Amino acid sequence: MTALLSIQQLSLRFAGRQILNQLDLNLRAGEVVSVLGSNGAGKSTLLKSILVLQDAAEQTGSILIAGIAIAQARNQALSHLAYVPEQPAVYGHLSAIENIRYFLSLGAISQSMDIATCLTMAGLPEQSWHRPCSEYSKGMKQKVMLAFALAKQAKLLLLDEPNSGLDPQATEELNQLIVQCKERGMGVLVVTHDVLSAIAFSDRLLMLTNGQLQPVALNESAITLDSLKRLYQGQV
Amino acid sequence: MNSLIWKIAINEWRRLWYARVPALLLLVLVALWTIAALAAHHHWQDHANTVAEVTARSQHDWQSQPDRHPHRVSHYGDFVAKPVHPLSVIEPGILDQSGHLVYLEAHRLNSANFNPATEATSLGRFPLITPAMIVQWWMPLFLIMIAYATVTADKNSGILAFMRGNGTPGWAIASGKWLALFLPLFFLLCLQTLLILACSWQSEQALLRLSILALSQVLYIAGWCLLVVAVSWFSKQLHGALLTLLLCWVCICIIFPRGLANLAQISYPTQPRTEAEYHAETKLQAIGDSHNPNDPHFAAFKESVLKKYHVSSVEDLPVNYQGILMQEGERLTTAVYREQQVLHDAQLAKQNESIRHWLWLTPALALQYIQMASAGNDLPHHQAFIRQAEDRRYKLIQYLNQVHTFKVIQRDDKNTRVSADFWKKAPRPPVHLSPMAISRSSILAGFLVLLGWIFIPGCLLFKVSHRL
Repeated sequence: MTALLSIQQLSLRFAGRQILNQLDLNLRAGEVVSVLGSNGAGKSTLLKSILVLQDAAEQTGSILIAGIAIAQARNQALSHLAYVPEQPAVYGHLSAIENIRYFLSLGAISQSMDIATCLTMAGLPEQSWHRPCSEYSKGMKQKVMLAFALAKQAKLLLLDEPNSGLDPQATEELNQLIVQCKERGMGVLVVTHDVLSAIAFSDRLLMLTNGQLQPVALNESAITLDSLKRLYQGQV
Repeated sequence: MNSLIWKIAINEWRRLWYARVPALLLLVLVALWTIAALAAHHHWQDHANTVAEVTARSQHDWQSQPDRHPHRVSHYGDFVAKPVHPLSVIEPGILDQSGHLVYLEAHRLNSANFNPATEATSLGRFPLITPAMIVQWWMPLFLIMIAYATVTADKNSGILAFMRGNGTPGWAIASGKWLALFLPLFFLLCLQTLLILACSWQSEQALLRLSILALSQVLYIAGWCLLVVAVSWFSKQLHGALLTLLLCWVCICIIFPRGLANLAQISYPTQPRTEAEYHAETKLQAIGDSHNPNDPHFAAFKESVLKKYHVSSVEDLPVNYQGILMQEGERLTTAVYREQQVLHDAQLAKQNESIRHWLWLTPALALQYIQMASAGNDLPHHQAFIRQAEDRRYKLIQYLNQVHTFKVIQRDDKNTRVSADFWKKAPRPPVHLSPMAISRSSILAGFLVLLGWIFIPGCLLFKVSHRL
């Protein structure tokens, strides 16, 4: 099966420091891959490199999204993915529906799903759809972002710390949503610190250390604070 | 225009409207502009009425003079009013400092001409609120307060990364944000232009003057909008964006214009009026005293007159010697005062030249130069008016001296009365507003600076819009 996301020999230097070092990654449709790593390891930078939001002069390697080289046809490649940053990026003065409609209108999207259907799938209560997003909780805003990804009919979903700042209930709902995305055939790349959630929804776990991705095998029942410390120190 | 840009601009308007405070600030700006326009219009109307009234009264009084001695007429004096363009409502320039009425009298070029007219190019006029000042100072300040967060807020909330990561080009975001800021202000400027056009379309060079004024204001505000978006884009924190923009405003609108004007005045000082008068009087005393029979200059002059008429004494002259003496005296005093005037004008020109060299530091001053030139209230227009007034004074006084020479009986000089018809026929050519071309160097320098003002923040924005 053709990889939805194919990264080969990706290197990035930033402020004189090697953040990514000849990194390789393949992600298929219907697969969820979580990238773990300590603070400053370069997890968010990896996502920004995929989106070419970093200074291109410092970046080498090849990135293909749905077989399209992003360096050559950025807009075409980006039309196949949806990116959700760590902070829920919604305009407070717009409602959920207006936000999704606005952001869809800005992208190079040939066709989109019905917004109401997507919001229902994302689990946002219908009575809040027309309220300004400034009145939403962080969990509700995350749902709006995921509803946008569904509406965009993206093949690939990039999530940056999706559970950050969410309570257990909201985290659980979000995890289920990621699983739903996977079941719909989307490829999902998640950058996270939340190891338990990552174990719950991921097919593969990767640890970003020294600019490279290393596979890790974790069992939820065997996780202890010490084992996590060792994992983050690269001793596993 | 690209629909992406429109969508971003429309969303930005909705955001500003939702935030209430920016909308309120815009409302305050419009109110301020309205007050300024009404006050300036009232001020201008008052001024125009005074000019019309004084001119009519002066004309009437002049024409009503009875038969009298011509020398009394030459000291009776004549008022001349500076022609004021209706665009003075927008930009009174140096009008309030230089004055608009000149009293023309024999023997002396009006010493008010030695006023330091460049005072108006600095902050001397800060307390005034005129529509030009609103555009020059207040509009950029309100723009900063309204829009410093336009991109920084999106950056901090992750929206910028989200938009860029989902395929919205940086240039479209930058252009949309710029358009959202520029269009309302452009609309206000267009409204102002149309209002002024309606009031002034029949005046001299109305279209040309108004077009240049409007274009300069549009460029200036477009540049500020570019700068605000660019600074907001590269600032990481909201307070950083606000402080950077306020610093730019303080430098461009206050420190540099004040500093340049002060530097020019220090480098090329003009004499105060009393000092200029003192120097003129000293020079006149050095030339001679017509009341002193032993004065060498006037003794030689007397000899040359007697020789010209082939007579041996003043009493034998077929013309009035006092009249000839008046002509010579007027020629000499005028030459001395004009010499002083040339020195004074040269210093002012050097001051202006010095400011023009550093004009690139402050587009606010560049705009002011163009606005003042468009309204006919800058230094070159003022100097041209003074030259016209002085020319009129000299011709009138010499005409009266000639009447004195040829129509006043020498032996009964003091009791002779000359027909009032002579005053009615006296040359009193009208004073015209000089064409705009007289300020071409200021206008060209101003536009060059304004084009740079668009170009530099434009390039900066283009560069920063490629990064997060």
